[in-house]
Amino acid sequence: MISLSTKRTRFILFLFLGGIVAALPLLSRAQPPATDITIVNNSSREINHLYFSPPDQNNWGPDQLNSSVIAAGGGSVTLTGVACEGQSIKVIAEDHEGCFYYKVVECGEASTWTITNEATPDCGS
Amino acid sequence: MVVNGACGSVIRAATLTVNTAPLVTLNPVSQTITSGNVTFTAAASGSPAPGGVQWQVSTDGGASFSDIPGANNASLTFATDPSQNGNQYRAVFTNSCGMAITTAAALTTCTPPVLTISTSNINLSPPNHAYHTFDVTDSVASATSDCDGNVLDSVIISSVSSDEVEDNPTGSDGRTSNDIVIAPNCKSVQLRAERDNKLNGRVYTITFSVTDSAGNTTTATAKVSVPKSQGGGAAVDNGPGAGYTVDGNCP
Repeated sequence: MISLSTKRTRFILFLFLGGIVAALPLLSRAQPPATDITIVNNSSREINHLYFSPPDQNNWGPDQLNSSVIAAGGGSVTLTGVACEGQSIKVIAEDHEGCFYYKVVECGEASTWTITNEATPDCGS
Repeated sequence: MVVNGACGSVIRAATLTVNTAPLVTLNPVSQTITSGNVTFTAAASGSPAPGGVQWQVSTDGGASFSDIPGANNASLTFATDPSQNGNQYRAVFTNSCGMAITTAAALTTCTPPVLTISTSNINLSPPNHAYHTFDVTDSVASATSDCDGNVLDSVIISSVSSDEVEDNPTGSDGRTSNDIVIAPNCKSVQLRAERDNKLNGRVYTITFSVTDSAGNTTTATAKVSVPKSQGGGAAVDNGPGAGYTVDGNCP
């Protein structure tokens, strides 16, 4: 014989667990994917600053290099666990002349971006 | 005068004086003054010469006038203040034959317009060399004149300065020129979102000016900053002496 209060407790527990199961997909979707990004500087220009931005926006975040630089001729840096708001992220590298290089990186897997002298920097127009 | 008589005549000269009422020969002229003294002058002829002059003031647009105590000279001089704006002044000349009244002269006492800046510092980011347009109304909340009322439409951008040079060949500010472009009508300016990444951020200073109908000019400034990077601290204004200034070509 199951008492009425036990039935009520089981019902509440059922609702609670059901809610958690139903919310799991939403929770996993709210968690932004992270990715590792390696920038290799094979160009002859020193990279002084590095920023991230949503690909379709010009909302650059803080400088990722602080006072460090990515040396010309093969210097590199790997940023791990870069949080993505969407499926991709825009990486902006700024050289010693204040010119920019842009690269959109897919999130969820490690990426390497190699900057070479063939890339055309955006120095303004 | 000749008196005829049987025994001869007597001839005696006499002067006939015909008196005339005063006639205004100089009316006072309306004046606009920003501060200090104002002088109105009037004159009249007549016979006998008008011995009395009395200046009068109207504070109701000329509907009625009242005597100004002690104002009995051909010129009326007094210190102005804004409360006298719109008053009218006239002179009354009198002699034994009558009187004459000048036309009224208006006094306009304008203080310089008041410019109110709504946004004293705008951040421009990211520093990707892109132009951003700023209109007068983006920074100026109001412009008022006690002579002309709302003069917001008369506000112009008179100059814009940058605390960094336009293009430093050995610097880290890209390779651009014309970072400041004031529109031909001086109602807007294009500013390039750019800074030298070796310095402390760029600060543009926009100078707005407005001139009222009395010729009084008021200026005010607003800043547009390009931080070195997000989270890297606010741009530091090193003053226009460290950079350059572009002047608008509007009167």
